[in-house]
Amino acid sequence: MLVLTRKLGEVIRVGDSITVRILEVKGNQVRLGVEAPADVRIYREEVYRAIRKENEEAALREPGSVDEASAAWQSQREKP
Amino acid sequence: MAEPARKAVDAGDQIPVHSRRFGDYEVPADRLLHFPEGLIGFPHARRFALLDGTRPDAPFRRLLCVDEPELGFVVCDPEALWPGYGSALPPYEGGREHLAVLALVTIPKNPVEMTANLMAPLVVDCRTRVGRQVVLDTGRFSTRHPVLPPADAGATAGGGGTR
Repeated sequence: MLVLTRKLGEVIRVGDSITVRILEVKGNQVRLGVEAPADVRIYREEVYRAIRKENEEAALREPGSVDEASAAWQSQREKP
Repeated sequence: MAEPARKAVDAGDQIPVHSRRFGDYEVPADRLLHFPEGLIGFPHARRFALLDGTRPDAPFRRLLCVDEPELGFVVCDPEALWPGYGSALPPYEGGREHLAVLALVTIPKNPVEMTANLMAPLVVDCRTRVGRQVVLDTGRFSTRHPVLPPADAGATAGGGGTR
């Protein structure tokens, strides 16, 4: 891992088109400003992981699941 | 979207897909949905077929991956289930009226407890059939939003169905 020390307001550049600026340091929180081309996706790590995990859990193991979902939805609708 | 337009295809082209899990099926090439970036965690899953469920009145369909034939999802129309949801999407320069939105549904053993991933919907431009998984990281939406009312899920599941 590359480790760099930066002061407030200083910047790290990743490749030609991505910059990360230290905007604010307060206690154990750091605010970063990331500038990158629109096609570079930037996520907070925990959000990325939660979505990846949910995608994996949503991947079907049974081909009939769509029918189960529809049946559950239908029976709920028919309740008074 | 920065991806180049897909290759022109003959409207009559049928793509045969062989899947152990979903059976063999064919999808017209011009009906495929293209996700050039794949889905999050599935970077190589780029071409999908959107197939109706057996109950066309229910808001669920199957989204089967042509590139990885054993990979498939159930998706729902979030706008039909949660009217107004589409307004939470970020602005789209191509015009929002051309966007179709799908949410991935996670179906547990008890399907009554199924959830929809409203934090990361699939957004497709209907004109180009190109889409991507968009992340709505505003704190407003969950990756596990109950599809059916929680009280209902609790009653049928014998309680403890809260998420």
